[in-house]
Amino acid sequence: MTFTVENITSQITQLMHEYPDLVVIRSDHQMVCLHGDILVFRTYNDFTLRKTYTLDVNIPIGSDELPFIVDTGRHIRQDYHHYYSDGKFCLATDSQIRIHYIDGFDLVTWMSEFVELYYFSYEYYERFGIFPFGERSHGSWGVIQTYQDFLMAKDEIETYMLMRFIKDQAYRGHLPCPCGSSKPLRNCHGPAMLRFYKDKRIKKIMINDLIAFNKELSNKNEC
Amino acid sequence: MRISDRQRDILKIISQLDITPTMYQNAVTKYTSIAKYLENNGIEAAMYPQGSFALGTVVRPNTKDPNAEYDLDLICQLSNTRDDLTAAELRRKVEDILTSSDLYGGKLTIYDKCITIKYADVNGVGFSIDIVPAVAENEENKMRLRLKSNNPSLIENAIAIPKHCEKNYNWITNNPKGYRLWFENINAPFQAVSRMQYRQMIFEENRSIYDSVEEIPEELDRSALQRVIQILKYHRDMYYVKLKNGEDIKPISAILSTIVARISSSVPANISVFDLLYYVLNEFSTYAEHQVLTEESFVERYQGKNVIEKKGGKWIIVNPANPEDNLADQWNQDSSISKYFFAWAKAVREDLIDSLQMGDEDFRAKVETAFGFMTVANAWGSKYNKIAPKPVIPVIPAKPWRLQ
Repeated sequence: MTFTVENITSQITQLMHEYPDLVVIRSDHQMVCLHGDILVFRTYNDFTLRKTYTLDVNIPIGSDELPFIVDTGRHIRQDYHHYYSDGKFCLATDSQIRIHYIDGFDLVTWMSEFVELYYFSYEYYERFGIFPFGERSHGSWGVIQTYQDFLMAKDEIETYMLMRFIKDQAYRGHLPCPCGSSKPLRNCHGPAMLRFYKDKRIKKIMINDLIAFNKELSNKNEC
Repeated sequence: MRISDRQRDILKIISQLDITPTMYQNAVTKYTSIAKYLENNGIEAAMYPQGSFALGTVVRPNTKDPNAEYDLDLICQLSNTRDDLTAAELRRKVEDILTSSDLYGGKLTIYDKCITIKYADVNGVGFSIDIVPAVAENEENKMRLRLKSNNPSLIENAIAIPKHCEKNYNWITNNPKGYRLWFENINAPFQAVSRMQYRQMIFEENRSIYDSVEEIPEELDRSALQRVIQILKYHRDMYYVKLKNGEDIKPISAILSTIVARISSSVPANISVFDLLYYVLNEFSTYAEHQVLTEESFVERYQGKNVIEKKGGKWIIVNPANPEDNLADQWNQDSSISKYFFAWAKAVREDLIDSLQMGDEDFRAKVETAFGFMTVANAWGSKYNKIAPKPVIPVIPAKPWRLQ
C-alpha cells in the first residue's frame, strides 16, 4: 500500500475535488501534505453534525506508514483520550485500516469513513459522554478488539483463541470450533475466519499482531 | 435568515408533538367511563388526571424508545379519609372491582404503584391509563404540612396513596390537585396572553371536531410556559435515550414543570416562548454553579435563587404542594444525575437558542439533533437544507484507538 509520487497524484486530485478547501502545502519524495478546511456533515442515530474543521493531511511517500491527520485547528480537547500530544489523531487501529485497504488505499474513503467519523465520534462523545460506535482499549488490547469485530467473537479471550487457531492450523470445516462451542467450525466462527485463510496478506497482518501481543504478554509476566 | 421564522418553525414541530384534540377527547371519554364503571359498582370516587395531562404539557412519546407510550396518570380518590381504612384495604377494594370487570379485567396490569389499563395503540403509539387509588389526607397530617408549607392553602387538597413496601402497603402523602392549582395560578397570566390567537388556530385546523372556538376545551390551550416545558421534555427524551441508563437518570417531568414554573413566575406574562426558554436556560446555567461553588458562596453570589437548592451537600427541589417531598431525592443517590442535567441544559441552549444565529444548514443540523431527523423532516420537508447530511453506515465503523 506504499504511495509513490506517481500513484499519489490522481488520489490527491480526487481528494481536493471532494474537499475543495484543502491545498497542497508540501510535496516531495518523503511526504505530501495538504492543509485547509473540511466540512463534516453527517448524521447517525438522530445526531446531525455539521461543522468545519481545519487540519493537515499528511501522506508519507515511499514508506509503509499510514497517512495521518494533525489537528491544526485545535478542535479537539487536549486531554481527549484518543489524541496524541503532538496533535495526531488515533483514527482506528493501524491493522483495521490496513486490512480495510488491503487491495489499495483510497484517500477519499479514508477521509470520509475514518477521518470524518473520528470528528463525529468526538462530538457525539462530548455531547453524550458515550461513543456512538464504541471505542478501542489503548495499546494491544485495542488491536485484539479489532479482530474481535472481524471474527465476530464474544470477547478478547475467544478472539485470541481464534487468532491462534488461524496462525497454527489449517481450515477444516468439520473440525470443532476453537471457541469451545463444540459446533463444527463451518457452522460457528468458520465463515468469519475464512477471509484470513483466503488472503495471505491479511493473515500476515494478523499473525504479526498476534506475535506482538504475545511478546507484550510475556514481557509483562517477566516483570 | 429571519429569527422569528425559525422560531415559528420550531414551534410547528412542538405543536405536532402535542396531543391532538381527537386523542384528548378519546382520553377523556376513556377515563370518564372508568369512573362510571366504579360508581356503578359502589365506589364513589372523584377521578382526575395528574401530571402532564393535568398540566397541559403532554408530548408525544419518543418513537425511537420501544417502551414509550402515552400514559395518562389518573387519581381515583374515594370519599373517605386515610383514617377510615388501611392502605392495603383501599388498594384491594379498587383492584378487586377493576379485575372483576368484563371490560377492563383483560386489559389490566397490576403494578406496585398503580393499576394500568392498556388500550389499543393510537397511530402506532401505545396508550394506557395508570390508576392510582387515593383518599383524603387526615387533618393531623394536613396541619403539619400547612405549618411547613410556603403555599398552605394548597394543602387542603392533600391525599394519601398506598405505597407498596415489602409485602404490605403504607400510606404516602401526595398532592396532585394542589400541584395543579399551584401550576395553573402561575400559568394563568401566560395563558391569557396566548389564548385567543392559539384557540383560533386550533379551531381552524379542527373544524370537523368543534363547531365553534368556544367549544375547544381550555385544556388544549398552550401558553408560553407550557410550550417551554414541552420543548424541554421532548428534548430531554431525545437526549437521554442515547445515554446508558438514560431512563434512570433523566430529570423527571415533575422537576422540569416545577423549576420552569417557579422561574417563570417572576417574568412578565407577555414574553414569547423563545424569550422565556432563553431566560429559563440562563437560570439553569446559574444553578449549574452549584457544582463548582460552595453552598455559602452560591447563596452570597446569587441571593434569592432557591429554585434548585443545595443544603448540607444535598440537592433540594421542593414540591410546591408538598413540603415533605424533595423532587430531587434521586439526585442525592446518584451524582451523575445532576451532572447530566446541567450538561443537557447546555445542549438545549446550543440546539435551540444559539442555533438561531447560525447559517441555515447549521441551524437545521442542530434542530435535527434536538428533535430527531425524521421529526424535523416531517415538519419541514427540505427547508433550510440544500443537501441532506450523509448518513453514517456502521458496518465496522472506525473506533478511535491509541497506541498506549
